[in-house]
Amino acid sequence: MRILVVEDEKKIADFIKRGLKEEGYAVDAAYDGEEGYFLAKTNNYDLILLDLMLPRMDGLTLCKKLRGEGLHTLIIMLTAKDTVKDKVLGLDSGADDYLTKPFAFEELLARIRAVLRKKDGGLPTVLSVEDLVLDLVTHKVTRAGKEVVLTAKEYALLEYLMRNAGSVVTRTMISEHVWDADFDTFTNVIDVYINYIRNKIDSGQAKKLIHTVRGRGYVLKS
Amino acid sequence: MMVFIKSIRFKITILYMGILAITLTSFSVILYHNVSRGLYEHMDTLLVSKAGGIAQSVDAYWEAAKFEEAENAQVAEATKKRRNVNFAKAAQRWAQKESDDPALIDIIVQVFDTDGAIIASSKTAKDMPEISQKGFLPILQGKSKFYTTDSGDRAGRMTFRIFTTPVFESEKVAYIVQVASPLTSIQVALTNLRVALFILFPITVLLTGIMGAFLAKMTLKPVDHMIHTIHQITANNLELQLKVPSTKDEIQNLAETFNRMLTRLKEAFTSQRQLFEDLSHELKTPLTIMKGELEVALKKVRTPGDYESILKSSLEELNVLIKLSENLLFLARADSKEVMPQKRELDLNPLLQGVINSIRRLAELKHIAVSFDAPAAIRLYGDEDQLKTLFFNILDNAVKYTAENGAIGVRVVKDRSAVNIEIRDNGMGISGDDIPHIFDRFYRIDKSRNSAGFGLGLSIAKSIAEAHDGAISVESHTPGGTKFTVLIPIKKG
Repeated sequence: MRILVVEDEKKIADFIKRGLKEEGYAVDAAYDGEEGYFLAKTNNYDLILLDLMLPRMDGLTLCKKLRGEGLHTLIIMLTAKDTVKDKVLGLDSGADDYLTKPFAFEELLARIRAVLRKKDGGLPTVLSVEDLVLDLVTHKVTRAGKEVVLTAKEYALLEYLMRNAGSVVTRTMISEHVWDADFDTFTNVIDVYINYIRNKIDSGQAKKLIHTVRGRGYVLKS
Repeated sequence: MMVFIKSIRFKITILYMGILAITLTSFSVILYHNVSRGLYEHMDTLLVSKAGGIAQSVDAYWEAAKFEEAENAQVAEATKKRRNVNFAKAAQRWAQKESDDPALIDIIVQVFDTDGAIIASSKTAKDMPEISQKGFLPILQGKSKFYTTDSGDRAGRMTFRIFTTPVFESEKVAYIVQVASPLTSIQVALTNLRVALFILFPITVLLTGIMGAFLAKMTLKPVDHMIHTIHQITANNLELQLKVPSTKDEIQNLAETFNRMLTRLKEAFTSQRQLFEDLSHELKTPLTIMKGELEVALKKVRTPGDYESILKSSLEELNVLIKLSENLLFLARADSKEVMPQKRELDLNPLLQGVINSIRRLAELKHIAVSFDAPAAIRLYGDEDQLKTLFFNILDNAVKYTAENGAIGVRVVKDRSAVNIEIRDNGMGISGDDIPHIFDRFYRIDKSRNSAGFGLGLSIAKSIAEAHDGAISVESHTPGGTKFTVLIPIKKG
């Protein structure tokens, strides 16, 4: 899952970015409204965390502009403005959720999971394919009842594959949703990570779940 | 009940009734007194003229009789009225014939000789009270006399007005005419008047009271409406306005005045609310940073270096909060006039030089030149720390809003009563929309928190200037730059 944080207060942007990365999200940060707009239009984000008081273009305008241009990326507004009027304005401008500062980081994570779940048509908090189970809340992964320990990046990659279970995901799709803007597309990092999770999930198992589709990408299926 | 008694309606009614009662009482007293005096004076005039007429008439009888007597006895003595039996006879004859005259109805006549003996009297004279001899004395000396007396002690007791007057002959009193008239009709008239006044008095007062209460109610009806509306006004619905009656009177004036007060209150509440919102926003940013950073840090075990940088960051934010609370405290105290400036005599130039030296360190980072142009030494009364804060805040602001390689100039101009400190920059300038608000608390031209500070600096500068009986004004051109002028009076204390 790739997330854009638009927040002019650098320290806030930084801790959100750090915290989300540790949860396995790919995170980019923009420090003003125009940069946020540019990044949102350029990259394919799953979710945008949007501050309202921004230099150059305020959050409400940015949100309306993106929605007006047909961009349906999930948006959670993050702001110190906490009156009912502000919340109504924010949600009506096209945001999917609204969180007031200061917030508990756990709540931010839960809300991110909630809006992502809703977008996927109300998926449960647990993804499973055959005997492979991934808990979106606890980040616990088990294969045939045995816990599989993954790094944050490995987890993010597996989550992405499981969300798209049964359909082919290309390397480009993976790079856009699992890696952030610092990712160098010319390296074979994706193949390396696919290899890591294959070793942890499929090795020693009778049934292989991760398959390579030659010339296109990968698919996770039973 | 208490409420009613204390109501203006009740007070006005009582006042109406009181004023009317006093007016009516004095009116009645004066009326009664005048009528009474008029009636009595009229009676006295009547008695005087009747007495004169009677004397003439008696004399005419005597003249007629005198001719007869003169034929009988040619005695000079006999032609005198005084103590003359013949005169007495003539007078009696007059009484017999003339006292029934309609002109003398209700008039009792008695004619006395100079000894005080009755020589003739009208038929009704039996009702007359006695006259003491003593009372006769002044009359014998030639004076007329009025008096009032009651008749006898009979059941039909009557009061009489009596006029006694001497009739002269050759400048000597010849006889005395006494006329009397009962005062019954006057007394009846006055009694009727009294009764009328006593009955009319309470009726009038009562009617006025009722009408007064009604009028007061009508007059105060809009006030009742206002009270009803005002009851509904709380801090949350200050947009409620009183209905203004177009009566062009005090009530309209009151309603309009009240509405204006509501508007002012609403403005004050709005700005207060805005202040709280701004304040909570200012508080939230450092709190969000601290909370977020600490929560993320605690999610797993970190290296000592990570912990150190997180603690340093938290400390920075704590310092922001401390600075904010200090600024707020200063403004709150300035508002409540709690801390008066500790004024003493000081030299302005070294003070400004000190501030400029510390601002130069900030200005150098942006390659901004700061020039200082002061006249000869200026001494003024002021609080050194506060004045330093004032100039630092303005200069700090100038550095913030001036581009790299810009220039800031400080110039001191002194006139007889005040010193003007001009702080001029060639920065971005302030737009006309922002100018009226730059001294507002938490007002930042750049709405985001990108620029450091809370938007309290200029507000504090203004408070300090005002605490020194001075002022701050601003002039700005976009682009071109901004000039702040701080005026501080030189006068002592």
